[in-house]
Amino acid sequence: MVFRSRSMRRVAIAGISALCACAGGPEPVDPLAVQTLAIEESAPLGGNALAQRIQEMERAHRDMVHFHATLRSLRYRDERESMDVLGRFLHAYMGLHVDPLLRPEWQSSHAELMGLDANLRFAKANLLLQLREQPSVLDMVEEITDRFRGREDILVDYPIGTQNRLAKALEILRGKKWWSP
Amino acid sequence: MRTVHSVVGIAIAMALVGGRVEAGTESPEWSAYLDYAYVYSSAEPELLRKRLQEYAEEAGTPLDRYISEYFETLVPLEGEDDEAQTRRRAIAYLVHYFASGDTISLDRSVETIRELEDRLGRYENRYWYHYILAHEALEKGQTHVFVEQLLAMWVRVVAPLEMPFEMLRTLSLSEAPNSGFVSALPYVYENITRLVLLRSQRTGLDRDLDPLGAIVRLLHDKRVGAHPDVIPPAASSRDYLDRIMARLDGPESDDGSLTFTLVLFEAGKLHDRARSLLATDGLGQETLRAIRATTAAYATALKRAHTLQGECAVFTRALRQLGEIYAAKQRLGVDPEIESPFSIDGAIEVYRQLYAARNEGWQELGYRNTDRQAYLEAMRGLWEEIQESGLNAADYYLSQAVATPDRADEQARAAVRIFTRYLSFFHRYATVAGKEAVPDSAYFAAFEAARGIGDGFLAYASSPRRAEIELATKHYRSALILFPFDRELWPALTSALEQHGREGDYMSLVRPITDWVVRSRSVDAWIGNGEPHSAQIESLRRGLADSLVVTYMGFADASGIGELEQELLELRARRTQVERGLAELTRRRDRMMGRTGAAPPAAPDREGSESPPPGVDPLEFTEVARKLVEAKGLLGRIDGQISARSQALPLYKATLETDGMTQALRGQRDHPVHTLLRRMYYENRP
Repeated sequence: MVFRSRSMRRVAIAGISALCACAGGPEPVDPLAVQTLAIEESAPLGGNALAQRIQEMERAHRDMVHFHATLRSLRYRDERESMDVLGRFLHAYMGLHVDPLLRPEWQSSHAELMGLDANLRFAKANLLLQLREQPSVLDMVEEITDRFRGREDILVDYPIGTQNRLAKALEILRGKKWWSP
Repeated sequence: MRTVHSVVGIAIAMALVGGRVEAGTESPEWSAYLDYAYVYSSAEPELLRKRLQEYAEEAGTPLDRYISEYFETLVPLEGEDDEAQTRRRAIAYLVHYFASGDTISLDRSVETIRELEDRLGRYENRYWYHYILAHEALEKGQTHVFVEQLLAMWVRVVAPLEMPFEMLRTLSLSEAPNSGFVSALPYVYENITRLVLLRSQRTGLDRDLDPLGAIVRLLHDKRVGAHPDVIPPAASSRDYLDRIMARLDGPESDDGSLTFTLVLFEAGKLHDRARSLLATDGLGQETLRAIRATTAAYATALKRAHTLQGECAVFTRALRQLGEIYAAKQRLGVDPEIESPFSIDGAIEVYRQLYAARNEGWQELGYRNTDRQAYLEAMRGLWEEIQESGLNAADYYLSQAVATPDRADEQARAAVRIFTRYLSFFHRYATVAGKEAVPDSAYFAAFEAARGIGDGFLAYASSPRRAEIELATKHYRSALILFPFDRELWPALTSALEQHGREGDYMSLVRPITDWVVRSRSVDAWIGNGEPHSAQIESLRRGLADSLVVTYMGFADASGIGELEQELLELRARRTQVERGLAELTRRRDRMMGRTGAAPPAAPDREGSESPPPGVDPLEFTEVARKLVEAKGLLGRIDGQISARSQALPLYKATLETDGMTQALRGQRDHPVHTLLRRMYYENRP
């Protein structure tokens, strides 16, 4: 690795970090404590903000797919303790980074975002299913049904690795058990 | 600069450090270097020491002195609770620990960073907090704490910084002066990667790391190595991460277990070192230590394996080492005691279980993330190591039979047992139903084993029993069926037959083999398509079609081809001689009959049926007539021999072109002719 420019070091000496210097009082030491960010918009995004949201949602979806692969692998090997640890992490992660992305109502019907929005919801439901949280999965199913009423024909990436119409994907999700492959 | 030295503070510091005012003050250079420690803190200790030395020269004070004179002496006197200084002090201790290995420094780093527990709103503080506590957990062997700290770092530091970083990059502002800790993100990725993949293994963390598999997957997904403008590819751990990911999702995984992947990967590194030492130093003490360390690492990997996929991966590698050790023992002529929990029988049992699931359930053995090809490839890999380690072990025992003649019988029979085990394994699984899990080289290895059994009894054992000789003969014949292109085997078979007085059976034993090769569709297609070595194979096939050539192959010594050619010349000379004698006898008889060359008989005489003319001694006439008959018969026989040998010798000579093919196939498990042997083997099997 190389040390970066001297000017950067001078900047560091100045100790200014506008973006990162989050103001805040004492925090709980629990390393997996859930925080929520105020990423909520009541109006549809456009331009760069929309591009950024697309990027965020795509990244979050890819990450959820990686979590799915890890969880599945732990389950196959019956590593319960590791599943608990990862489960706590996933709750923190989803609470902090995924739920705020899913909160806005408008994006479920936004032409450019609805597919991503649906994919992310299915990915979250899929993780909840693997974490054996059936009631939360049913809530998710209900939410998807409500949000996408009339748009059941859109294609979604569910089950992970395949594509199906949303109505079919919902049907599969309803019928899935935590131990399903 | 937030640290402002008070006059009082400086005065007290002067008193404490003996007047070295400059050394006791804050160094802007060190402050900057410590603020940017995320850039270099993951460097290898040696490189880090060198780097710190350079920084020390620039700052005019080495880090350890700066710690003691500034952080431990002056700062407490100032009595200020400065967040940045506290963080720098914690980082300084951590960096010192990295460079020196001094765990007291790590303890102080932990103690210091904990002072910031109520100020973790700043991402930079959070990062160092979790990073330092993760190192503490590593040092103490607390896997769960280590895992939790890293997961927490991801949720609380990495994930929140990702969008701001992307936004700044989009606007080309990621290195802007006020981008702060956001711009550290590529380094944070690198540092987490090195911590999980490298440091954890150096400290021997070999269990319960699997939840971090999620983090490793995220790091691999357009994160590590995605910013070559910030971290050049040569300085990035991207390649290493690629290799780990390939293992994690590949055929050598344990159903995606990160713990297993890392442990096996580290064992592989130890194996590489042991192999290198074996090549350079032979089986010396250091090599033996390296071998034992490797074996222990493989044993740990086996313990961590939850699935047959993992067990298969470990056995494949451990047996490779076993084979290398036997080869080295044979090459070096030494026999040090090397214990291993891995046996060929154990590997065969793993293969058996994998084989049993070939039609249904193979995915549940650990191959869920891979396709069927990966499952079959893993089985073929395991097979190859079973065969190689077995053949090497048996060869070693044969070499011992030569080295210790008084124990030749014992050693040769030990080799035969190993060859027999491989053949038994081969015949059990190299079936039409299971052939897709058999490597191409298995058929030649079966030939080697069959031939090895024959050689073991006939060439190495000092006093083989009759039944053993018969067994050897049988295996030589089996070996010829598996690989008919080994010219040395044909005379070995006649020699074996000769030992129990059955050399006359040679042709009847080999005829079915030669007929099969001559008619083989696989051989014909191989030659027709001009596949590798087709010219040599065609020569041999032509030779096998000629029974005289087959006889030559069984009874003639290839090195005496000149002798055979000389014999042909002598035969031709003999023919000339016999022909001359015949002409002389003919003239003599004609004289007796009163014939001249100008007056041939109206019709040919029936040999010996003529009556002597008057005045000719009947006894002399009869004698000449008998000799004439004999000479003509002899000439006919010689002509037959000359004709046969003139035709067969070039063919036999041509078969000698296949010499060397056996060695080539033995040395190259990917030699193209292995494929031909495989096709030939299954040609007549339902």
